[in-house]
Amino acid sequence: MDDTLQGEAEAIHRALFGREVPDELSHHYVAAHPHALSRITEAERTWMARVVGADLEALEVALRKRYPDHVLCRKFRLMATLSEAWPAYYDDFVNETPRRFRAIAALAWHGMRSLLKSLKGRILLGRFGA
Amino acid sequence: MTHDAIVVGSGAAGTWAAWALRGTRTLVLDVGHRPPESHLEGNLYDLRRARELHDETVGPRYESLHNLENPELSPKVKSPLMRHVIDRPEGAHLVRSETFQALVSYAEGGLANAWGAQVYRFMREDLAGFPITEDELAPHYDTLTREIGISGVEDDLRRFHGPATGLLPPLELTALGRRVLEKYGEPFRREGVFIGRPRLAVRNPTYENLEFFKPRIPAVYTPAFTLGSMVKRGEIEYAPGHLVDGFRETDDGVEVRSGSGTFRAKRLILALGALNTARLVLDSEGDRESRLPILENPCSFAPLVMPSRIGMPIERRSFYAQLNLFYSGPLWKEPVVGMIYGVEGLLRSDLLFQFPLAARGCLAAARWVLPAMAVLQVFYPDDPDPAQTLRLDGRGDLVIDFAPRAPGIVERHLLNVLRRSGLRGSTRHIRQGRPGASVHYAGSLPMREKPLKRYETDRNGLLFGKRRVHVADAATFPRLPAKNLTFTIMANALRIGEAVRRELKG
Repeated sequence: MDDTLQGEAEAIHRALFGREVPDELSHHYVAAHPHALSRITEAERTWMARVVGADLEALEVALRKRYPDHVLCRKFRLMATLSEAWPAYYDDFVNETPRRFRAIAALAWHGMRSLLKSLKGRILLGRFGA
Repeated sequence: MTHDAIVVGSGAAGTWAAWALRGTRTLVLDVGHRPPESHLEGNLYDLRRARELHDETVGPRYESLHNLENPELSPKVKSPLMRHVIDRPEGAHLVRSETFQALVSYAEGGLANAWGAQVYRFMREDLAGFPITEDELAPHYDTLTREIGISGVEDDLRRFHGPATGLLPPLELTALGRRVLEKYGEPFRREGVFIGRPRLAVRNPTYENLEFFKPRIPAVYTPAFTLGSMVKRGEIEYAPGHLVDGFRETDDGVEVRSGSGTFRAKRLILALGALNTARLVLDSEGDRESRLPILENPCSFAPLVMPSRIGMPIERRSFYAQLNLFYSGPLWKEPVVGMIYGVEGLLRSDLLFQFPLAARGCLAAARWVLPAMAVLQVFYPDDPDPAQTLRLDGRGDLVIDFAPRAPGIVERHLLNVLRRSGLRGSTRHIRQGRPGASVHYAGSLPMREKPLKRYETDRNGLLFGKRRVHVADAATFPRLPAKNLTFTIMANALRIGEAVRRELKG
């Protein structure tokens, strides 16, 4: 079970931050499940095991619109909350200097990227189901 | 030993009723959960940059992840160090409801450990339906202003807030808040929208933005401070660890039972909050049939963005209650209250997936858009309604039957008017708070000039049919204006405490 969750932690972390998950955060991700996600069903576990190698960011954005409490959406929220407690992630969440042009460019880029991810997610949902 | 008075509960009402009784032999009985030890000191952003905050923001038992699988808890009580405010002690009865999500507190200082610190005086029009007047409450509001320290200014909200006498300097505004006030003027007023600074029980010089994570930060008032200083000076007795089961009047006083003993006094003051006070009264009467009224301010939320602030740095030291709004016009029969909250004090992950973007886009939005964001919360008044009642079930648990309510319309108008200040919000994103969300509960044992039936109280909170049992909390409010009620709970409890004191002396 722990190996499966560690694999998920790696995949979700990469989808969210684009880099490898640190061991300590992976450990917290696994340890948090009995406390925070104790109601995950066998069907949800099986679904997670099937999709873990796919583009999770695309699946998550497609699911969030229709099923905001889907197991994948909850696991993304879990990873985001755990990571925010670490100084290494501070700059991922917080901006401390005025960077207006960069902000607008980044938001425009992510707007387009999100559209494509959403489309891809819908295709993946056709393959994996929700 | 027989006390002069027993006060049950140590929140806004219990503490200030006890304050009025200083110098008599007064005992405050309470469960009295206390906050865990915390070494969190300083500014949230400095702390986050400097060290790992897992135990403080997530929790050793992952407490703050509650909302992933459970009915949503407010950010004010979901973080690990704040959870003691709503922890239920063993043996406490439940509050059950299909529709109403109730928050009750067994903490020393009560729910006001996690209040918004917003201070409002109920004025003449707010007290319509109450058997007491603005003049009767005024001296008690003044006492509270002097004792707890309230920041604010005299501005365009004077007609709603009353005079600014005795106020401390206001907290610093964020750039977003300043911009709204710069743009505010006559066109807003013509639309019935009045904007100004909130009055807050927050002291500026020592304020740091830890109110969502650290209990009892010295800058933000909680009744636990007043209770602690009364105990320290020996002015009252405080007995935590007592979950009160019931009470009964005897020939010469009142007996109060808790799991660990029976206490006797000449007078009893109930101050457990509108829900638990009603539960204790019904249970003490052995009444499983009666339905009592329950009031709660309907509320709604809407995100706001000031596009000109996108890409600007985070505000590092801003209290979340930034600007206060009132709507007074033809859309609603009496004033509706709004508050513009900053989001700087929250974790980004609380809001991250609200953006309509893929996960990495949400992260980008957290960095670049959140400093430009605020949340509008709107509160409506509430009047008794046969579809809003509480009762006890066979186990003695409180059951709340509460019909869903139609959404209000004032927030739509406010979003339109706020565009003039550069704040943009979409009516599509207005979210109605579920019943119970405002945590402003009242009206279960309403006060009347002449109480006519069981479970009504007189103007001094004396319970109908009793000679020595008073109610000092918001259970006595016969209706709820849109204003936050906590300051008036304190003032009214002071008033009732003084009345009891006079009776004890007389």
